[in-house]
Amino acid sequence: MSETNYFRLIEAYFEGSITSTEKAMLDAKISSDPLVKAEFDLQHNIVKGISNARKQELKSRLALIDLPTNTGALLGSGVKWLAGTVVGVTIFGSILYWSLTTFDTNIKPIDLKITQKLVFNETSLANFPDAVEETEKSKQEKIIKTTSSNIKVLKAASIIEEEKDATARVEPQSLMSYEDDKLFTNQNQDDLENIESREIAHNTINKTEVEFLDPVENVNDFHYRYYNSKLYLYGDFNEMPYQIIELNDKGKKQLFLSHSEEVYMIKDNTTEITQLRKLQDEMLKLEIQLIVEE
Amino acid sequence: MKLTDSQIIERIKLGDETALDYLYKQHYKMMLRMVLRNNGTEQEALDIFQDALIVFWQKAVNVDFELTSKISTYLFSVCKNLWRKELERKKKFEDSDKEESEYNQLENQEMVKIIHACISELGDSCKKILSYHYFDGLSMDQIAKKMGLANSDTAKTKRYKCKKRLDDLIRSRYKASDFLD
Repeated sequence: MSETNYFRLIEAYFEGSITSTEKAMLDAKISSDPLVKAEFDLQHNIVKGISNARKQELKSRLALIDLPTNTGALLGSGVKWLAGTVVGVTIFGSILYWSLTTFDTNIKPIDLKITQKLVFNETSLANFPDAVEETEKSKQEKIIKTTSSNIKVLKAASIIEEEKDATARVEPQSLMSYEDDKLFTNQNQDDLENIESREIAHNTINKTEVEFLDPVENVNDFHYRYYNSKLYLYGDFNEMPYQIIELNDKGKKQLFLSHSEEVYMIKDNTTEITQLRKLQDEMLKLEIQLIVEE
Repeated sequence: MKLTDSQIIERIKLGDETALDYLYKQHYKMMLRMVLRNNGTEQEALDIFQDALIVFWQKAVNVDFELTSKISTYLFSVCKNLWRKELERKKKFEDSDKEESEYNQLENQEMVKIIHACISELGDSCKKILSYHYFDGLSMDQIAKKMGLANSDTAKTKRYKCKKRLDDLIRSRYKASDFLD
């Protein structure tokens, strides 16, 4: 094949109309003939130059678009209706898993009814002097609000002797707070070091209470109820790490649950046991996952 | 006005660049946060997002392109990949022999300079038709419609003439053999 024909092949190559046979011929020629190779390189650079010029043109066009300042962009949330601060209530399932396994001996499912009087094991007080002291100082009523007869009370620190007529409330173990750390200190100093290394352990902003209950039907199904800042989760959350993300904006808040690489939306004022629905908005899901990854 | 993903794709396929403007305004915050969170600056974030949009443009303008996810998801993935590559490039540049790298760049710069100078000497319509053909990958029919030419044959002839003019311009200054190593 003459040299001119090779030049035509080069042209066909950049037009995308070259056949595989022709391409093989051209490749062979390029590797053996420096002049053809130089022509190929030149044409390659011309096409690249045209592309770069177009790219620059498009980029210049975009660069002229007036965008809000960086600060605004950062303070504003990508979540359209959430322009405010993210007050993260983040909970790691690993912490829960750790706590469940660590306190396995102390955790006992208790059957409660609204009218039932609670009598707690006094020996637990001896084991957790600080916890009791802290609790006494605050003089908080520990009331468990529930109509369910089968609740696992996860927080060992709530085991105090106290009699109340109707109900007893517990702070959920899963929402870690600084106070929680104090309680853990007395139980397992080594594990506390792990907790202290996590920033999450010092998040005290949360006011939402969470309780964990047995699955409603299938073990793989997750249900919830959420009202009066109290979240009831039904399902097996022990196997996989999960997080609860609370986004706040001007007095409005929205909870999300991230679990097994899925994000679920938790709607407020859900008094009926409702199945957790996967978040459909992929953009919002990405946002939540970004928060989770952090 | 809010546009749906399919409306945006439709516009891009027609070569309507305002669709890019729309996407840029719509999604820059998310991309900005992603880059800022990963050790980037605001300028780098915008650069990466502009590049991602251009990658998307090139894909979407193709007649065979089919969107399998939301545009936002697609853009986010492209941005993430581009930023990862940029970080790798930065690291490589730090690790490698900078002098050698700079020398190789200079060697190539002369050729690129000539080519760029010649492209800028072309008329506006020539620049457009070559860009639409080589960068955007538009068909001759699409180019004819976009540029208001009679038909695809007219576009083809014009494209050929413009490319020849560019080649001649470059060759008038340098021959391919001048670029031999």
